[in-house]
Amino acid sequence: MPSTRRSVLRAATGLSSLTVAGCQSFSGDSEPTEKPQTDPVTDYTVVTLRRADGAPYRYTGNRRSGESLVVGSSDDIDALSFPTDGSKADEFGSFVRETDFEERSVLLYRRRVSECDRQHVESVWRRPGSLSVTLCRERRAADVDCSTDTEVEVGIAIRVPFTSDQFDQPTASTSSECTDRFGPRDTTTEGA
Amino acid sequence: MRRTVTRRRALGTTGTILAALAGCSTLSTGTRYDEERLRDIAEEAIPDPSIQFPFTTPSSMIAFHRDRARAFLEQVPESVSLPNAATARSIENERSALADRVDSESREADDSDGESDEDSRRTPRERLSDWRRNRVEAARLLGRYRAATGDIERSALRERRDAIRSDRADFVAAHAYRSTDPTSAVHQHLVLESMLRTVTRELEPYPPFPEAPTADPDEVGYLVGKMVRAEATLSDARRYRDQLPDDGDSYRPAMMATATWLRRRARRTETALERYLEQGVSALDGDVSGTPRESWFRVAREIARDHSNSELLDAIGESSYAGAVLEAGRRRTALSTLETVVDEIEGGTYGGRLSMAQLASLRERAVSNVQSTLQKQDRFGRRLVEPAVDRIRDGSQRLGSGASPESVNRAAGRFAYAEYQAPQASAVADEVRNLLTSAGE
Repeated sequence: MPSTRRSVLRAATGLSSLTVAGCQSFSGDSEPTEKPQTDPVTDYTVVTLRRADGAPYRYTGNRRSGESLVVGSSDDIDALSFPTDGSKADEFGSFVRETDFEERSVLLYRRRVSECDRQHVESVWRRPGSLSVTLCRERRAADVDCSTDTEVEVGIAIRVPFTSDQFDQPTASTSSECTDRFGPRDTTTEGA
Repeated sequence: MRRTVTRRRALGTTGTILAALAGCSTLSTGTRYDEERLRDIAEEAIPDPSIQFPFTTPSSMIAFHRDRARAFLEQVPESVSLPNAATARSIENERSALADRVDSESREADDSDGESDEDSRRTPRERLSDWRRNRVEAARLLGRYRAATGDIERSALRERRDAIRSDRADFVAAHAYRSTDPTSAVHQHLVLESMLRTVTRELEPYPPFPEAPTADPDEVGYLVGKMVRAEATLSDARRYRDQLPDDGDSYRPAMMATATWLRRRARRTETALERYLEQGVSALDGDVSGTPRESWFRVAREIARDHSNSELLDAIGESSYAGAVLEAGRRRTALSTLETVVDEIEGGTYGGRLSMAQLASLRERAVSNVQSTLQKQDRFGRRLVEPAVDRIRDGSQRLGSGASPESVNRAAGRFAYAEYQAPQASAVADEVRNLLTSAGE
């Protein structure tokens, strides 16, 4: 699949490139510095699942934790099970299972959040051989009935345009504020 | 641009050749300087170009913001009941913290009548700023609470914002740039122009009011806070303007003429310096790499380019007359300094490695020249010499953090810039004052 891989790489590293690997940047008369290539990944898709009772997915593989997973093959799928009690749960499981692993992979996260909060994907960035994901937390509407003493489990599946052999285990961080909170909500990536 | 300093240039060229023959061309990798002695030089005093605020801030201005802040706060209950318990707790916590601050600062203000130690450290202008901020934060909290409880309408916010916009237009229409003398006029009206810019910025109708305020109480609070900051800033600007004499001269035409004259004079200098501004170090005669000259020239060129003709035209076009005069002065100073720096470099000044004593002496000369400008007690001079002070500070920090010849050369380039900029700032300050006076006659 060489052409596909090339197109995938182009998709991620094309016009949106912020800096170019190996290029030297100069500022005033300061020392030239080398900066690694870092590109925002924009063509990813997110599906989330919010569960008040039970986990959004279960992992039975041999990795130490199932909190953060890279799903890149049917073998990886075999180590996962998803709830089937409702259309949102079905959608979440199908989204992960039906990924074309010849071209893409899924980053899967499980997080506990307050019942009054929601979890979004803030950004995905790519460096050579690695990905970094920033999640963010946001307060739900003031007229939503919720308690600060109750937590729910949230599953987040991010389908990225790279096969799993193109990067190592991604780093993930969570911001306590979503910086794009102003403006219309992006309904295609509604948080959970 | 003087291009006929042939003796100097000849000496400079000879110096460069001799330096290269003597092995000085490899200075970029030469012996490191003594870090301790560099730190001693770096820690010498840095001049202070600050100027006195040109208005007084009576306690009634501060009390006005304090009363408004308390009034906003009183409309948010201590115990908030909402379906979303986290939002309710967050508003309660914010209210509690703000109430504590308001109480504490109110006590300090009461004590300050008796000159308490704590409050006497804050100037009246700083306390005004503190209370304006408290007022804005209380308004933001109230907006947030009202959005969370569904008790705020888009139309109410829009009407209030339109009313402030109308008040701003009245202020601008009546702004005659009156003062007692041209220097005071520029410095007083710079403050008012800056405040008007804040009002304009805070009145920008962005972000839009959310479709569902209960889903975005923070966003609604932010919008209310912006609007109140515009209102509070405009009210302070009115109080400051009221301190100006009604029968003082109007300096608006004089400021416009001065900015335009200075712009034309600077334009001529810029044309003469075009190749240095466009091409950078490659336009200089001879190789300046590995010497303080390289940094010296780069700093002078960068500052000259920062003060472009188009930026000045923008200031004039925005009817920021006082701002245009200051920017025209800065541009004139930057270009005149670059002209002098080019002449000096091509004449051979600061062409080789500096000894520690030469470096210390260079910094002393820079400080001394800046002090000479400051000692003239001229507010234009103090404003125009700021880039020199910044370069002394920057150069001193570099000396404190690096002992390589490259690092020292960069610091030396900045001191050299300050050394030659300060007399130019002083000369341009005289020029600005004379032009303002001529235009006003």
